[in-house]
Amino acid sequence: MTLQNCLILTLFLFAIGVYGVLTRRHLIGILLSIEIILNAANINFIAFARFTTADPTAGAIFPVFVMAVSACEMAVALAIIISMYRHRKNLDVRELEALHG
Amino acid sequence: MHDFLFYGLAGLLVLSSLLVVILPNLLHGAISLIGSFFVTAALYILLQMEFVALAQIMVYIGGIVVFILIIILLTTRLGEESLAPGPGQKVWGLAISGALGGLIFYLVIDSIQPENVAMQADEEAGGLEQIGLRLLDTTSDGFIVPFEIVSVLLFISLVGAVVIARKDK
Amino acid sequence: MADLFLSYSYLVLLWPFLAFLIIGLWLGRYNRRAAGLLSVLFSGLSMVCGIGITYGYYRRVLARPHLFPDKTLLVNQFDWLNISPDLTVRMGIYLDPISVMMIVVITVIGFLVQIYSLGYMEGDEGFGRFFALLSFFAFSMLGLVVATNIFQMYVFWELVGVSSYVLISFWYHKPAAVTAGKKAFIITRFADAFFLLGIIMVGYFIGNFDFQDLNAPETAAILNKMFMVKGIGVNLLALSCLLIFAGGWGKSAMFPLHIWLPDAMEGPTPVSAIIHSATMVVAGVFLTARMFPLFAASALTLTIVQLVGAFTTLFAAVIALTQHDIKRILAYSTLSQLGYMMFSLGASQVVDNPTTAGINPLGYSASMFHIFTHAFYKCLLFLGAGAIIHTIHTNDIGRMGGLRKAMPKTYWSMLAACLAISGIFPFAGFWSKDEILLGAWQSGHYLTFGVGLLSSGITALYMFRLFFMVFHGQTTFGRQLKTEDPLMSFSIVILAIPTVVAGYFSKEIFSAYFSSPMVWAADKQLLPGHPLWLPVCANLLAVTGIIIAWYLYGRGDLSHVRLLTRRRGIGYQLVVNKLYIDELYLFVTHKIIFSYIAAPIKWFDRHIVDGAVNMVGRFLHICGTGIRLAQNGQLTVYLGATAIGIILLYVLGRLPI
Repeated sequence: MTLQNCLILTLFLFAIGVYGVLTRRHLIGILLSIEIILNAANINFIAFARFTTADPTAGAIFPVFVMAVSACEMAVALAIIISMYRHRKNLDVRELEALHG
Repeated sequence: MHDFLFYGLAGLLVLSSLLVVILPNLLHGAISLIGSFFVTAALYILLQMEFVALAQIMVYIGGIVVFILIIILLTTRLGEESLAPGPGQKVWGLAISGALGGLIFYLVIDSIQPENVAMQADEEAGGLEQIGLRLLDTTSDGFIVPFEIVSVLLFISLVGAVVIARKDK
Repeated sequence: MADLFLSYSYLVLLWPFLAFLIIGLWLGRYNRRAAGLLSVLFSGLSMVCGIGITYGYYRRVLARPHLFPDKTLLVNQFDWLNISPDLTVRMGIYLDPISVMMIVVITVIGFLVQIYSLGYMEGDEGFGRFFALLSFFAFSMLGLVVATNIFQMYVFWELVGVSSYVLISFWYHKPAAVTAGKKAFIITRFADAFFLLGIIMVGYFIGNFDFQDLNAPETAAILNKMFMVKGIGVNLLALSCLLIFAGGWGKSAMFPLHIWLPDAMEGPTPVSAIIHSATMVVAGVFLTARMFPLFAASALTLTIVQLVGAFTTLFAAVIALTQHDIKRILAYSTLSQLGYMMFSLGASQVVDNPTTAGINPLGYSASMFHIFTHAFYKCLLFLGAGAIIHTIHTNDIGRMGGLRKAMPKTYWSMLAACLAISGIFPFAGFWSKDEILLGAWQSGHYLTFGVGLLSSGITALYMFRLFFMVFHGQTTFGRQLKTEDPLMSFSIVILAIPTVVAGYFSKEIFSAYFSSPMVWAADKQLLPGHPLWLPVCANLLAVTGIIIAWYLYGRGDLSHVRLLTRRRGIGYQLVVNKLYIDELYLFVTHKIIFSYIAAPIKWFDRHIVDGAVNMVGRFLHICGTGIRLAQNGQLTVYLGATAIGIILLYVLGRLPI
C-alpha cells in the first residue's frame, strides 16, 4: 500500500466516472457517475494526507467539505430533475437539446 | 496484511463502480453505488481516517444515495425500457475516458516517487478531536470561515431545492 | 493683495464655468429669472477677478521692468498631458500685456452684455440656455487668451468655436439661423484643420508647444533651415507660420473666408455684440500677435498677413455701403476693422532698405490698441442696433427713420460710437486708427497706408448712412413705440464712456508696454516721425464721408439715392451682391467638388470600402453557420469535447515548440 497505488486506484475510479458520464443517457445516471468522480477525489485527499507529512488534519477536513457541497449539489440537481420530469415526462439527455445552436 | 486488504478493497471498489456505470437498470446501479461507498469507507478506515469513514457512510449512503433512490422510484415507471447508450457512444466514451486515465497514469508515474511508501503521518492526526479543533479554529490555520460558509450554502440549497421542486401555480 | 489676485487668477475662468454648469444643468429650467441674475453675478465676479489680475500684474511685473524684461508671467501652470518624456502639454495662465488687456475687455464687455441680455432676452423660451451658453463662451474665450501654449490655445479655440456655432443657431427653429451656424462651423473648421496641422508640425520639429519657446529666436532659426523637400520650396518656418495663421484667417473672417460672419448675425444681437465683433473674431488677430515674434522672422508670412488684412479692409467697407440689414452693415464694418488690425501687424515689417531694416514696434502696439478701442465702440454699436431691433422689430434700415426722439439715450451713444469708428478726433477710434496708419506709413507700405486711409473715409460714409437712415428722416412709427428698456440702455450708456475716452487715456499705456521685446526691432530714431498732415488728412476724409452721408441720407430726402441706385451700374450690382462670393462658393462646392471629387469618392466608399466590410461579414456568417453545427445541445457531446480539450491542452503544453 503506497501513495502510488492509491493514486492509480483513484484514476481508475475517475476514468470509470468519466465513462459513465459520457455513456449514460439518463440524467440520474450521469449524477451517479459524478458521485463516483467525487469519491475518487476524496480518496485522493485522504491518501495525500496520510502518506505525506504536510497537514493530515486538513486533508481529512477537505473530504468533509466535499461531502457537504456534493449534498447541496444533489439536493438542487434532484429538485431540477423533479421539476423537469414534471414538465417533460422524460429524462433522456438526447432529447434535452433546447439549447442547440 | 494491510497490502492484501488494500488490494482486495481496491478490486471491490473498481468492480462496484464499474457496475454503477454499466448496469442498464438505474436502480441496480444506485444500489451498486451503495456498495461502492461502503468499500470506500472501509478504505478510509484502513488509512486510519475513522471520522471521514463515518461521515462517508452517514452522508453519502444515509443521505445522498437514499435520496437518489427515491427520485429514481419517483421518476421511473415499471416496465419502461431502459435508455441504452448507442454503440458509437460506448466507443467514444471508452476512448476519451481511457485517454484521460492514461494521461493521469502517466502523470502519476512521472511525478510520484515509488519509495514514498511509509505512512509517515502521525497516528493521531486526522482524528475526530483534531478535526473538530481545526474546524473551529479562528487563526489563519483554522477552517472556521469555510465551515460557516458551507452552512450558509447548505441552507441556501435547501431553500433553492424546495423552490425549484415546488409545483407551479 | 496684488499677489493674492495673481495666485487665484484661475478664478477668472472658474466663475463663468460654474455659472455654465449651474444654469446649464439645473437652474436654467428651474428658474429663468434666477438663472439670468446668477449669470450676471458670476460674470461680475469674474470681472472683479479680471481687474484684480490687471492690478496684480501691474504691481508685480510692469512696476518692476528689471525683473521681467519680457513682461511675461506664468501662473497656475500644471502638466496636463505627458505625451512622451520630451513632450509635455501644460495648462496655465500666461500673463503679458496683450492677454491682460484681453481679460479686461472680455470680462467688462461680458458683464455689460449680460446685463443688457437680461432686458433683450426677456420672455424668450431659451432664456436659461442663452445665459448658460454666454457664460460658457466667456470661460472659453478667457481660456484662449491666457493660454500658455499653442495646444491649450487650440483646445479653447475650438471651445470658443463651439459656443459661437450654438449661439448663432440659438433660435434653432429658424432655418436661416441653422444654416448660418452650419456655415460658420464648416468654414472655421476648414481653417482650423490647417491650424492643427501647423501646431503638429511645430510640435514635431521643435518638440515644444510653449509660446515662450516657440517665440524664441532659436525656434525661427531651426525652422528656417528646414525644408519640406530638401533644398527646394518654402521652408518650414514660412510653412508652419502660414498654417498657424490660417486658423486666425478663418476665425477672424479674413477674405475669402469672411462669408460666415455676415450670416452669423442670425444669432441674438447680444451674441453678435460680444462674440462676433468684440472678442471672438479678434482671436485670429490675437493669435497672430501671440505668435508675432515667430511670424516676424518670416517675411513672406507678414506680407501675406498684410495683403489679406488690407484687402479685407477695403472690400468689406465697400460692401457695407450697399447693405440694408443693420446688423449686416455692422458685420461688414467689423470685417473692415479686423482688416485694419491684421494689416497693422503685417505692415510692421519695415520695407527693406539698409538703414531701417527690422520690425516697427508701432504696428504691433497699434493693432492691440485697435482691438481695445474697437471692442468698446463696436459692442456699443451692436447693443444699440439690438435696442432698435427690440423696439421696432425689423432689421431693415430702409424701414427705420426718425428714431431720435423715441430713443434719446441710444441716439447719443450711437452717435459717439459712429464718430469713434469713423476716427473723428478725439474719440477712441481716432487714436488707434491714427497709430495704425502711422505705423504703415513709417514702415514704408504706402499702398496699404493708402487703402487704410481710403477705407477710413468709406467707413465714415457707411456708418453715417446707417446712422442718418435710422435716427433721422421721417418717422414711420408714430407714438406707439415702447420706451427704452432700462437694463439695455444702462449697458449702452456705460459703454459710451470708453467709446469717448478710451483712446486718449490709454494711448500712453499702449505705446509704453505693448511692444514685443523678442522681436528684432528697427531703430526708432531712423524711422520717420509723426507728421501732422496724417491725422488731419484722415479726419478730413472722414468728415467728407459724413457730409456725403448727410447730403444723401440725412435730409429726409432720398431722391439722390434713388437716382444713384436706379442706374444700377454693373459695379453697384456686384457690390450689392457682395461680389458674388457666396455664389462662387456654392458653384465650387456643388458643381466642382460634389460632382468631380465627392462622387468618385462616394462610389469608392460604397463599392470598395463597404464591399470589403461586407465580405468580412459574409465570411464570418459562413464560419458561424459551420460552428453552429457543433452547438447541438447534446450534453454528452459537450462533456466529451471538454475532456478532449483537457487532453489537448496538456499535449500542446508539452510539445517542444
